[in-house]
Amino acid sequence: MAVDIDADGIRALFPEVDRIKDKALRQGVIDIWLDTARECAWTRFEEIPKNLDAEAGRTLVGHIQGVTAMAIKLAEIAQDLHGTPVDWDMLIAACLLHDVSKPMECEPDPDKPAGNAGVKPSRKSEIGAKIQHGVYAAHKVFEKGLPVQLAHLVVTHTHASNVRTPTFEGACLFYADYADSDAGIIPVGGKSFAQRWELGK
Amino acid sequence: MAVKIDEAGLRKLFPEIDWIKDDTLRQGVIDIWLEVAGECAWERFEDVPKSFGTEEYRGLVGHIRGVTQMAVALAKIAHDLHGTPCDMDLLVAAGLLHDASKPVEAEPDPDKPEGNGKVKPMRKSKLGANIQHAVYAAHKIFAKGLPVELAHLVVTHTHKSNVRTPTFEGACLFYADYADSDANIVPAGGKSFAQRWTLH
Repeated sequence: MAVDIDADGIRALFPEVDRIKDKALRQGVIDIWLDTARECAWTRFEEIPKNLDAEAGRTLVGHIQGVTAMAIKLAEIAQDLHGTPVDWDMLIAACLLHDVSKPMECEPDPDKPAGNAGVKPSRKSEIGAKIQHGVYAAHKVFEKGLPVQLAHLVVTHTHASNVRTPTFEGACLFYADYADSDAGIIPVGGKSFAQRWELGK
Repeated sequence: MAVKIDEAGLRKLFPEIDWIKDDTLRQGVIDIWLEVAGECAWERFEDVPKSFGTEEYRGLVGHIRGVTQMAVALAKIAHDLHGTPCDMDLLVAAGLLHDASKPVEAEPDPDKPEGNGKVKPMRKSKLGANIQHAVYAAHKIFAKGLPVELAHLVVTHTHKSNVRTPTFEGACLFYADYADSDANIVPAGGKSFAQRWTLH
């Protein structure tokens, strides 16, 4: 099984990919999504749930779209109001790739009852069970010869890693990731991430 | 000492005020800021620093504007892409008032050397030393008869409170507050909040 999609299909799913100015980086992001399409056990990206828990009823694609739009907006306001420097190409690529390994980390679960019409039931794949979230995406970033800063942002975006990024691009990705998650969790009565963060040293 | 400012001056300082559609709520936000102007020990709101430490050299006003704009941007995207409901009036009001008590929680410190000239050195006021951040802002909200939901968002925005809000408006305010903080901490070489959050 694989997702049947080409570069135009990726552009239609994630129009922000064309905001990446560097050609090699833009092509790399598209190629990683195309590799993932071939390698994963799904037939359409749109049927993949965001995760297995409270957010099983919403799509991964919608989440990635939301995170990308939110992170760009946070960075735009910071730049306009405060002059905060932003590596735009890196920020957009990181947003579009932060969860690109999810279609590999899970697979359709034929034993679970079908949920809502939008997404299909899912379970962890072997990769998902053995390799922490984000690492397979980092492997793809290295494989394509893309910048180590991009692999850094992708690996550190998840608290499956104990390493945090000191960059502002990473901060935007972090806040956008959980703001978009909470946008899906709160209306269905789940406990938001915003209620669960505690400040460490 | 007090900040000499009128309604027009406040609108210029915080153009986001006019994003609030409800007349009573909008006027309440303005009135609270005018009262804070009268009560605080500063001459200009632009002189008030955002915080102590790494953020001592940036203005509170710019932070409040950044937070309000960011929170609204997050909520709009969530609404447009996912249909997440959001009370935008409440969110804008909460963004504008979340740190409205800071000018009375701090006062100019004549004993500290001038910083970078953008803002003035500060120290905690008697109020700031005795009352946890944001409670005085909540008092003002009650005094003006504004919604309890607004007081809730303002009190819970700070981790000086041990109570968290389950609302999406509060989540937007939280992420915007720290994204705007990190927008200045990171370029100044400080440790970002984004590096410090742990999930409980």
